[in-house]
Amino acid sequence: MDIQLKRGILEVCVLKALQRQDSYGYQIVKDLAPWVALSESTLYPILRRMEAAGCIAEYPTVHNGRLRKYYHLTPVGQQRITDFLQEWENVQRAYEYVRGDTDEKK
Amino acid sequence: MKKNELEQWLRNQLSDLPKGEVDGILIFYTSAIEDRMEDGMTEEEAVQALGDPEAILAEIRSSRPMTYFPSHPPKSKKRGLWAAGALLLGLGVVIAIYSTVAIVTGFNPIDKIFGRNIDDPVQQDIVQVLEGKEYETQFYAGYDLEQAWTMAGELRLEAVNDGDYYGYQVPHDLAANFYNLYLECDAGGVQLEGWSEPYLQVLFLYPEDYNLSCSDGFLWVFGENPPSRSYDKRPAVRIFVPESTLSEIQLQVDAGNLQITGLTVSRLFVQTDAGNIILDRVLATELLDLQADAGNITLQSVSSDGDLSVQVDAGNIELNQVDAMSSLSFITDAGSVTGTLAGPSSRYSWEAKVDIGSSNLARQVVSGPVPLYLQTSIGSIDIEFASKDQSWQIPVEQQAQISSATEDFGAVTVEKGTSIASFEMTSLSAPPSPPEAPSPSVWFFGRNLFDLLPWNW
Repeated sequence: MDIQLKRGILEVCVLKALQRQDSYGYQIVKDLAPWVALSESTLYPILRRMEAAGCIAEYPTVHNGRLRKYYHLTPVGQQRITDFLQEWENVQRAYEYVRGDTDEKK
Repeated sequence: MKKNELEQWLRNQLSDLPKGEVDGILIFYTSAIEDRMEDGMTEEEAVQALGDPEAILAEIRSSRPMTYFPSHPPKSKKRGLWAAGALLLGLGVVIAIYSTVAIVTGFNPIDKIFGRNIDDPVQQDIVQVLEGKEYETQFYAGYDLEQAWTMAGELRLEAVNDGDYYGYQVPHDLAANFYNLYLECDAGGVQLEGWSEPYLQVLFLYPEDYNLSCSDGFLWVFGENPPSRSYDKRPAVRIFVPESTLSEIQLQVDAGNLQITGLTVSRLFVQTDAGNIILDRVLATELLDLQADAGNITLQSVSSDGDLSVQVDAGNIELNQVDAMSSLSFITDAGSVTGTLAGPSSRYSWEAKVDIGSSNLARQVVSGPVPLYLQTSIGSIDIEFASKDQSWQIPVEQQAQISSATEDFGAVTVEKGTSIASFEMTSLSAPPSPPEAPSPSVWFFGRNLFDLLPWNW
């Protein structure tokens, strides 16, 4: 898959994983496992980018005597999910065109 | 591989990054291992589940904000200073925790900070202290925010009300937390100014539009205007920077004019969609890169000790006493390139390309050591060079006076209190050796006294 497209989709998946509640690396990987295969090494750059873009905010908590980074979805991130869903309809139409269904129906 | 081995290996591989940033990265990865071990995996299985260490390293590198632009590690000399600063800050934290707990006992300092009314014209001291190990801090420039987090360290902000502008003063000692500035602005002008105060000041016309945070060695400023926001001619963001404090400044402005004055920085990157860019008395000690979609670019007394690159799709490029040590490049699709460069023509080897329009320069001239590239598709090139070889060479005895007076050295006008004083004009290229003038001699115990005068050292 085109790397930009894949990256964009993974970003929205990560945001979605934070929609219900704040979460941390391993939990995000586990939550997304049924939907997309993702490792922490792939997740980490996504989180950094999303944080830089203001879509998520990071904060540490102490868990079993050690620090764990939690991530929180910001309103900007929420908007990103909404935008993605709206844009996807256009992508879907483009997909159908590329697939050739449009021509076959004629 | 064990957890500690992976940790140490990553630490070695990332030794060029600031320690605070590496610590933050490692917390993420060691947590991932420990969380798996809590789930029942052995240590080795948990490490293996993260994947190939080389792939982890590659992903970490790719996630750094610098990868967007050419990457330069911070100067090691400065790092020592940061380390010393961090140590001092550490001591400050211990003291501040005790004093602040005593002062603020009984309420949540964060609620107190962001619950305050910033409209109060009296400047307010804000002290936020949280425990921990890292000097990695996150804070927001909004006063209606309900939550804020910091990964420990001390954050001391002073709220500022400057006419219609609201914002914060960040003391110089906090520079241990960041040495770079990143600003992304939706609409509205941006003004960046070097100043002699020891703190950094960030002011917003509409603070609620902006999000300010500090991590990974960057002070991040993100702005997004709500659709209801009417356009204001005044700059939306004004940032005052202590001289030579920042290693790198990256600015991305969608719409609005950008003005930078009296600033010294190692690397300066600017990208704008629409709006004019004016740089006045700006020195980049490593790199200066300006890119604009539409708008005029004016550079006045601007220099880079490395490369200087200006590119605009539609707009004029106007130069006045501009120079760089490694190379200069000025490209516009539609517009003219005009003005003067600080060096004589013998300093440059140039290529001047015009598709439709005129040029006062020959198409290609090989003369001096510094490459100069000029290009316009539709427009003209009209560039003058400094007339005299020595025009950009400041005599030693005059350099000493720069900080106390306004001096005109021909090619460069140096004003009092500006960072231009740090220009090393003599180092721009090998200056011609001074003429061998017969010097007067006063002999004293076999030595000529005139040889002992400073200009003969």
